[in-house]
Amino acid sequence: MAATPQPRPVDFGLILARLEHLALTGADPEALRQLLSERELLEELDASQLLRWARCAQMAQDRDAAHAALETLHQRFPHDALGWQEHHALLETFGDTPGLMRLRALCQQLAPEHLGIVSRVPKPSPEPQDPPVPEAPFTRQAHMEELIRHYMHIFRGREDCFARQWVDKATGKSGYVPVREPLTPAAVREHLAGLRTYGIYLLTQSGRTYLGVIDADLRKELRGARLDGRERHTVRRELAYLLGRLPELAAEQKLHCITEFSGGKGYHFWFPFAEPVDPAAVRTALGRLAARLQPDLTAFHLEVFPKQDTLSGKGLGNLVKLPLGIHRLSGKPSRLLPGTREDMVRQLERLQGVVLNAASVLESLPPAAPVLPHPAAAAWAEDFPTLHTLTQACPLVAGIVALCRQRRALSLREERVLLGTIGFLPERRQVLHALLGDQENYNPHLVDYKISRLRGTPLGCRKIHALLESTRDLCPAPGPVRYLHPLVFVPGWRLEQAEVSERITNLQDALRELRRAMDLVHRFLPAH
Amino acid sequence: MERVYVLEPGAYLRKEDGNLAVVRHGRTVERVAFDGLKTLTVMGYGSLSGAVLKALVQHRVETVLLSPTGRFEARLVLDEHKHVERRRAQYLVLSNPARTAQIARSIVAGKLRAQARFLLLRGQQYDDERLLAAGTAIRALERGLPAQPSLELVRGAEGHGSRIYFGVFGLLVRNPAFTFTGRTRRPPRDPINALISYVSTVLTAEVLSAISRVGLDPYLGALHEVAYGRPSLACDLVEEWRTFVADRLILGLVNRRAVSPEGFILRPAPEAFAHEDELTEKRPVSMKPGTIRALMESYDTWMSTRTRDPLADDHTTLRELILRQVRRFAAHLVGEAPEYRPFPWELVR
Repeated sequence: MAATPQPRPVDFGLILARLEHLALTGADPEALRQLLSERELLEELDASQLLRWARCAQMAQDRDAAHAALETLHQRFPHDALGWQEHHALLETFGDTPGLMRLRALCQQLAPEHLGIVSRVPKPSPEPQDPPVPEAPFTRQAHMEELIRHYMHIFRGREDCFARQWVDKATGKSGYVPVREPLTPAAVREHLAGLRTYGIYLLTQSGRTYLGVIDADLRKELRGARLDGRERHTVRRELAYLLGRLPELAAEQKLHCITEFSGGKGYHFWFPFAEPVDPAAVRTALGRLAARLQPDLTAFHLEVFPKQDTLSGKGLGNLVKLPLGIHRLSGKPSRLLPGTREDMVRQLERLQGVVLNAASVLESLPPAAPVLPHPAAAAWAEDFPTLHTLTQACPLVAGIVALCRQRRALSLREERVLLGTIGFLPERRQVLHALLGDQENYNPHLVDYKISRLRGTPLGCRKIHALLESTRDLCPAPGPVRYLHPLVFVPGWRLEQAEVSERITNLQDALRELRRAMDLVHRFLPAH
Repeated sequence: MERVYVLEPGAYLRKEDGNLAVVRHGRTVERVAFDGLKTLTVMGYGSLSGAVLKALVQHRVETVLLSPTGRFEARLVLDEHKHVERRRAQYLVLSNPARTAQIARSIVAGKLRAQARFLLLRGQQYDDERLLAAGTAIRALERGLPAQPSLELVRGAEGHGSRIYFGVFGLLVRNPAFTFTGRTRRPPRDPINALISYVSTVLTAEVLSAISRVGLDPYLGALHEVAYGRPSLACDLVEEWRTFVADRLILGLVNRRAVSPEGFILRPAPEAFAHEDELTEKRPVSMKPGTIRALMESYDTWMSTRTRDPLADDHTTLRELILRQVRRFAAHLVGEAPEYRPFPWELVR
């Protein structure tokens, strides 16, 4: 009698290997789920197999199956420490407090020796803090983008076109070629970095403008060539006067401007508007400013842009080099004034405080407004009203005062003119100390001494022109005067007010002064 | 300066008075001394003079060329006159299938440990059960890897781990301006994927540089099979750094809103690309030059972050950690260490 064949025992190792393969590779999620649902198999597995099963269930993100396998492991093999450990870790990961309590109770009941494993309390702050992510480069970049956006908002021109500056260094010529596309932030970035230099056409396609510009160029004969002392001083003084006076005159008309060293022949005074305005109205307003200032200047020529009222259809109208960047011919960087060669970001940041002019300002221009001090000079005008009047009247003295206010050094002649005019004002001490106080070699005692040595009458206009080697005409006298000097333009000024301390009016005074001087010399002579 | 990145298109490198000069439009924009220069990365269509090439070789400067989109393209291979023993050991060990599988297992286990730890940390931090579940699953994958697995199984587990990881990666993005629906490569289809791919490339170049310095052959690895032009060993050894170095940096920048969507150019792109040129031309997303510049600066600072090395019990930069790990890998190949252990992020406090 043949023996009945025994059913072959099930190889649970094979089932588990298949389960592991599916779980590790994620090859067939449905088959994996199916296999994990066959809980009756758990009763047939040994301790290590149950642990592997539980891990496979975790890989499949089937927490119920994992708990079932681990609980079976605890029930059948309570002394398996690794099982308790993994079960505790699983419950702890999800913060399952009731589950942890149940596990602890089960452990106490089945394997009290492993109670330490399941009673472990998580540390309050077990994990490290992430190191800070270096986000500064992005912050800098975003800030730069914002600054460029603002720059493009202020310096707006024709929408569909801008210009690129070219230079031929061999012939020393430069010019612009139109770029027939809108100006982009990338192009502005190139311009600011000095890689290319761009200009904008001031008139928009609709024939309006967002910008008016006064271009103050150094006269041709003063450019490039080595200047002699007289010319150098003239340029320096007129420049200081121009940079201070033009914004003052503009403020008088309620117009705000941005002053820029163009990197080339001179300076640009940009008048940005919040909305597109009529170019003719801009030209009228700026032309008036230029006309008031031009007679005071011999070294600079003022020109107003845009020169066109409308676009004729043939050309693109005037263009002006964008501020900042580098002038291709001179190789010099352009910069905003007042200020030093700060880095580009700081220059752009200063533009954020710029006030755009309202179009209505052009409609209500006063015919000839009285001279008002610029807000920056308001304190000076308030403290020293006579000085303010004097600087309004005399551009040469105004130039020297502007140099003082810019903390620039004075030449001996400039200092002599200053003393010879302001030294005869009633409040001369306060004014002169205030003006000269910022000079590098300021010595209050010496200033007092120089004031004390002033004699006679103020310096005459002819003498001042000669000292400063000015080629401009003398100003017309305000009335019938025998001796023309700047103080005659100050209403109410009289020589007696000047309180010149050591005035010599007769021979007696002269002898007294001589004796005093000799006593002083004797004091320093040796005894024998 | 140890590292120089030349990112501007059209840059020309020339030698000026013993220095490396970066020239754009005829103007020198940067000058770097060759002394101390260790790595030069040129992206896009940069060119260099013969004198620079010679100086780079003389100073043994690791030079890596990337495509305009940041893909690794080439490396200046110097004559490796040293470390012959190391390379011989590498060829011998990695020709043995069992040893190769063992090393691959170790690398994948390290990667899975890092991924699991990162997800569990963030899951607790954000109180998000989906992150915890994914972290637990990857942790189980690492624990469930057999002691003697086949290479196929190791690769399968690595792929499965990555699928789980990137399945929940979108939950780690806490900036509503960005979304992440899945990992896409060649080409990346959204800004987050573009960031991951870019940083991954640069990080791989970093590992490749360390491998060259240690004297191993970067083209023969364990987990990644040999493929023409692929630095397989660098691809292997970068795995342990992806999560805590690359992903943590990207997520930090995105979640702190340092990166914004305006820093990317998005284009409508076809589902599939016919050839490489089309892929380059019609990339669905690319980073703007400013974003690349800022990202590289951030990356460079990040790699200089000092971290505790539990194996040496000291603090050093991430860059130095990578070099140390490559040295440890070489030590294992020459038999000085019984096993290669990827960087133990779980011990970093």
